[in-house]
Amino acid sequence: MTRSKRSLVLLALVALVLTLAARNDAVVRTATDLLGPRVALFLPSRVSPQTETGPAHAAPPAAPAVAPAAPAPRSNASAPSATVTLAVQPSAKLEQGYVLEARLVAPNGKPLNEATVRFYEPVELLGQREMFIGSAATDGQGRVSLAYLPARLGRHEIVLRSPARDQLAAVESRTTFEATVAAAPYRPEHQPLSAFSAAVPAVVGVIVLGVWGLIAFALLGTARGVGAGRRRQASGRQASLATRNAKTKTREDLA
Amino acid sequence: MDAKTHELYVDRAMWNIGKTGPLWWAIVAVLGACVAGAAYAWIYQLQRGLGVTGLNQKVSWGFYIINCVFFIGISYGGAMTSAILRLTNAKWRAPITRLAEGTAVVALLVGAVYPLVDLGRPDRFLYLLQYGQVGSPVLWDFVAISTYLIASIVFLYLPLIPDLATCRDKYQGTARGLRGWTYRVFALGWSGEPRQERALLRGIGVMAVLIIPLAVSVHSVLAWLFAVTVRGGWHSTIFAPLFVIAAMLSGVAAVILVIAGFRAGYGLQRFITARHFRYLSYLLIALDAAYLYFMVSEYLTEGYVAEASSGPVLEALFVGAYAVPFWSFVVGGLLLPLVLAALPGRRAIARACVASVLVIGGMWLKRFLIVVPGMAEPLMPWDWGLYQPTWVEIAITIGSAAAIPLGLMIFFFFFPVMSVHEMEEVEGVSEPARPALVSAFAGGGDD
Repeated sequence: MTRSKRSLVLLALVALVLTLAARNDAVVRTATDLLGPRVALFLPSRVSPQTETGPAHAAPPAAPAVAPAAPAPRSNASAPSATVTLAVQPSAKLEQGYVLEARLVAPNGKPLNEATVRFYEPVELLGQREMFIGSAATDGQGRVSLAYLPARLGRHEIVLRSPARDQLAAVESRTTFEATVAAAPYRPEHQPLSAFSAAVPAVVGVIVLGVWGLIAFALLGTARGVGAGRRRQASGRQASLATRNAKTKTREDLA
Repeated sequence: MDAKTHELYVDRAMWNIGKTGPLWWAIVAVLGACVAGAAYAWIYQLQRGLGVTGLNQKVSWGFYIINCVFFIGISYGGAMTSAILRLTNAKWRAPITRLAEGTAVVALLVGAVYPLVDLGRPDRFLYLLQYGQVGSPVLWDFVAISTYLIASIVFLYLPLIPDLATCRDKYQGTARGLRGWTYRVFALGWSGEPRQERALLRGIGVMAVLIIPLAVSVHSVLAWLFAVTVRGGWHSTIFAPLFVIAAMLSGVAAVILVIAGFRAGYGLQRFITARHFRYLSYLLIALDAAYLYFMVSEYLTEGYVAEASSGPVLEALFVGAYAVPFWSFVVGGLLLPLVLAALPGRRAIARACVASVLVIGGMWLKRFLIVVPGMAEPLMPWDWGLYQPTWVEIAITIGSAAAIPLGLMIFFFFFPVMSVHEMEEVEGVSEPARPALVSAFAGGGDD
């Protein structure tokens, strides 16, 4: 077998081993654990995207979760889908923000009750993601509502999704609204000695650097001093050798 | 010191270099087997996880953290003994400083490994560097221990430079390969020039001053690792000085044992005399008494108030599940060594050694009594935690303890066991008169 053939076989073997390793969940997890999440970009994704399963209540969640990708509705192209009406209304109490309202009606005109509805908001957080706002179930009139206090003012997009049920396909609807009310920005509680503790790392860092400097000074200073003594001794030896040579030469000249 | 004694001193200091014998090999084999057993136990633990240890959800710190604190404490004593003797210009220090400094470095290397062992997944140690929090005492510990390790190595190396030059000249023809290269390179071309002497003295002086606050900071940070928590028996303002005194006490005891061992094994009786042991015993007495005082102060103030968190721990220590080890420590590890070291009479060396063994055992037990009951005490209305070390932890503990004498024997296989240059530095200086207190304690001559 020639060298090039051997190289090709070796390359194929390495590729095979890498492919097998990349298909193994344990190997992928360990590599991701050791090398960080960036390695996941180079490995085939074996883990399905995490889906949020919020409680089916009408109140907004305290801290909306952010999912890397929204759960895809089950596709059933041939099945008919419900009609969705989605709207965002200001809350009766201004400080409570808005109410996400929706109504689901079956193709035959009957309202859909007990249908699970999930609300999301597309956000930009380390890439495009969907923030899970909350979920609720429709009532006998096919209506569902969810209180929502946005975290920021300005334009917001709301995504509604309801999974497929009975003979109906999954539905999705979107709407936008301009938020003029938002939650007050988070203000951390005052921590005692916080002004002092903020300066501590810098002070300790300076002290540690000072200690390292002193150690370096002791070590390098000694090495320099000892080295200088050696050079001085060597130059002294050279000087005495030169003097001796000069004397010898003078003696020879005289002779 | 006359020329003949000087010659003998140099001979004994360098006698060990490159020499082995049946006894040396036997000791190295036994110690090496213990270390190999510890390595096997660690690999076993790495393969199977921390589940093979006695650590559990309630008591998640056990032998490993106890040993980390204990061995770093021993290191502290070695460095402090040498630094204090240098700074006070004690004339009798020359034969023992190298042994003390060597003990400091080797014990620190052993102690510094324990956080890795305790991690279970040592590769996660890198997370400390990647994601370390400034507010975490674990990061403080890492900075303090690594700085102290570098400082200890420099503190060992600087006084070694002239002796390396002596080795370079003495073994010019015989020491080849790595050993000869080491002597040549690390002697830095030392020839005893006055300028070199000045530079060396300055460097050693800086390190001797620096090593004391460094060592204090290391053990204080180790104490804060416990004290900044709200656990009963740990959250104490006196913990840092208590840890520092404990470290010095166990360290001085370890130095006494190390110099006794090398004195007997390497035939250094003429230079390391009963006087050295007596002086170190005085240090032991002072530190033992100081520790006793700090401990009583801690327990008195905590026990008088008996807060909800610390009260049950103190009860468990004094009359509960941990009463036997606690009182064994108080009597056997503090009071008895105090009496043994302080009593006048002959056999100062034997008494110092027995006292040191008791102190070392006692101080290990004390670390156990700090770590385990503090963790086992329930913070919620549950039962007390239970900790029973497995063979893995016991094997690693024995192996690491064996690694210290083994490391020292290997180190002194290459380097002089006593500082020749330092002895020459103090040569010709008459002995200081004995203070009255000394004779009152010592009671007799050398033995």
